[in-house]
Amino acid sequence: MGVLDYILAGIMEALTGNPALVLGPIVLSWPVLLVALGFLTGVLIGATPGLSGPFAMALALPILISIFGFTPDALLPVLGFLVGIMKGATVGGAVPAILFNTPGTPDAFMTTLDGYPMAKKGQGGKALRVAHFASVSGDTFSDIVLFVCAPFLAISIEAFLGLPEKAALMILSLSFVAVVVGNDTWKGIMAACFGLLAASIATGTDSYPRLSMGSDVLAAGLPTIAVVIGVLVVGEIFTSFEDMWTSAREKRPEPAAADPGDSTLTMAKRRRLLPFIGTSMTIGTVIGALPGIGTTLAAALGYTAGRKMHKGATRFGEGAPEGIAATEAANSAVSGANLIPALSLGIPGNVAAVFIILAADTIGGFNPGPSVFRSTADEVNPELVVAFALFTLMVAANLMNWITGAWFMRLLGGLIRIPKQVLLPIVLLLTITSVYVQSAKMSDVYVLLFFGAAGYLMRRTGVPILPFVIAYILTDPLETTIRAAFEASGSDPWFLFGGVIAPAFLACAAAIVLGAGWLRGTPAPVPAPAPASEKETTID
Amino acid sequence: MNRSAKLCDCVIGLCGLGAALLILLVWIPADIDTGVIDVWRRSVRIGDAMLPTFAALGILISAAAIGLRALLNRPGTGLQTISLVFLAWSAVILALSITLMMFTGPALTALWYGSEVPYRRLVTTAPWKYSGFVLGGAALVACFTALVRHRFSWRNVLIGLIAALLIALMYDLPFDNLYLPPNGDV
Repeated sequence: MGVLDYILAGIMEALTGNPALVLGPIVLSWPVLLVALGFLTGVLIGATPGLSGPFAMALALPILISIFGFTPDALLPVLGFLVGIMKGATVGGAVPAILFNTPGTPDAFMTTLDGYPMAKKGQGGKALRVAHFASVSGDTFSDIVLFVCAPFLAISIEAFLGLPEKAALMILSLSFVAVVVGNDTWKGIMAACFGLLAASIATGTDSYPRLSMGSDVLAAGLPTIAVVIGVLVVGEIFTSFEDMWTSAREKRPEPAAADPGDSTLTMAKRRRLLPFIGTSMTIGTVIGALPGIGTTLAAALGYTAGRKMHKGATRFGEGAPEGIAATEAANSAVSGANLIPALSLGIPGNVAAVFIILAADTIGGFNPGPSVFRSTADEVNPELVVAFALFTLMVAANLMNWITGAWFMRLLGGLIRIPKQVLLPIVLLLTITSVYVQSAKMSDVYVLLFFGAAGYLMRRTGVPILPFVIAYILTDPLETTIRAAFEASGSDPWFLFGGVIAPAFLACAAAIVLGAGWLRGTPAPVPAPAPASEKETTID
Repeated sequence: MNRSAKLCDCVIGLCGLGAALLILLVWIPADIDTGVIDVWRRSVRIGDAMLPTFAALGILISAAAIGLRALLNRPGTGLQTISLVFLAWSAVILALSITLMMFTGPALTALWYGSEVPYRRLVTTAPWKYSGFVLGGAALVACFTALVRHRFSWRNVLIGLIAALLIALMYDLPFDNLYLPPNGDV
């Protein structure tokens, strides 16, 4: 099969492969239906103060697997729903930032700087339109870069890197994530090592499951979804509970929603925003392609670049639409680019990519990494068809975003009023239930709560979460690759230092760890705990 | 570096050092059959102890660095407030909710049917199969809402009951093969 055949097969697989509804020549497939549902859910979740996209992905994954099972037909609908949530939540996050002055995620804080002043001036609807236009432009651009870069990167890696080089690349990525996420290199390294240790329980090649302490529960291995959701979601819920408990939020009035008011955004105004959007989406895409660097940095850099470019009457921070456009284009451009390392290397770059990889691992039939893009003339690579089907679903989500996103954002602006104090306990119950129904074992719930407590303590002590999660996900491929490279080298103890590329990767890893202070600057001083009204729940 | 940040980093350093030494000297030797390097039929392979040993060494080194940095008063990222009272209340609420989930169904069945019908035979029969989950789930939602709001209200109990019931129905009605907590363990 040629590349065009694979692209066509992927498109057909996504659009017609698993029909949910057939009306004559019109076929509505489950993957497309799930993309639409995921997108609407994502906008709803993103627009709800206190929730974020990764929260929804964490909750949705066990539910989706319960619905669709572990069959090959389940893969695209599940991935489609997750992609839909990812994109929907990205645009939805601007709604509370603009109308309630409540950033749902740290990157949305920049949106409040100009969004809320615009809303107070009766231009909330216009601000939402600007946010949507910039967000969807950034997202689309980032996806195009993903479609072009991921296959080339994967093919290059497959062609030029052997087993030791791949192992060294994984070590480099892990070092990078451990160092750049959070504010403390040593704590990042500790989190990554903790992830490696947790993932090594009950795995290995010996007949006795290592580190299982003779326990039947541990001998079966830690349930990956319970561990990841525990650290990411339950830990964040407990942290938010404590913030609300220590603050006097319940005695304060709920922030009043500003009236959306005027919502027109003419073509001329859109054209004036394009330079800001173009600059920011380029920044966001570059930042997003690096594993571990989140949307917050992209939003901050995009906003700063926009402020330098801006020469209008309304200054940044006083209700300039260009400020919203610069922020939203940058943070939305991260989402697609974050999948470049995930799809081409199998290395998750952010929480959303973690759930995409987790879904693929759990269901089977698709192993994100360089082998996905392997193409030979004499045999069909089904994973490549799935990859192009996934790209098709991302395009479908973008089309939906362009067509309905702005309308849906405005609609939700008037609907979301659920207090966080009520919402988060319900989310905790839903999380416990969705983990339990997977295996029907309370031991999974105890694992969830144990890692939830670990996640809470890590947050409170400044130990970053993402290195733990990424190390946990990467452990199996890393160990397998290292074992295979060692055996292929004839048990050479210096197998990771042969050739040029692997030592170069390892030297880069060492340089990143040693040069962390320069990369990040000195650690940020400890901020005073903000009241819960000023903090929002985020697992980004 | 403020005092709480220094104390936090010292605690992390000490805990990390202790945990890493325990893992390296006790857990790994006692609970992994192959060593760091394993020789099997004259071929040298990477043993199962390699990965956990490297991970524990990483924890050891990073914990030592964090602790040493704190002792030298170098700036760290420090500590946010941890309230032991909040943690104690959370543990109590979780224990109470899980206990209610586990024992409400069997207790109600024993009250209604006596010892003739064990709960195990009713885990697929409404309303018994919902009883533990709905009561325990409602307790979880209501108690945590009360905890974070510093006040109890019957409205929150009602919200908890409705939420737990909706979640139960969401899983139970469309899927015959799924068990609500704790019915799979009975």
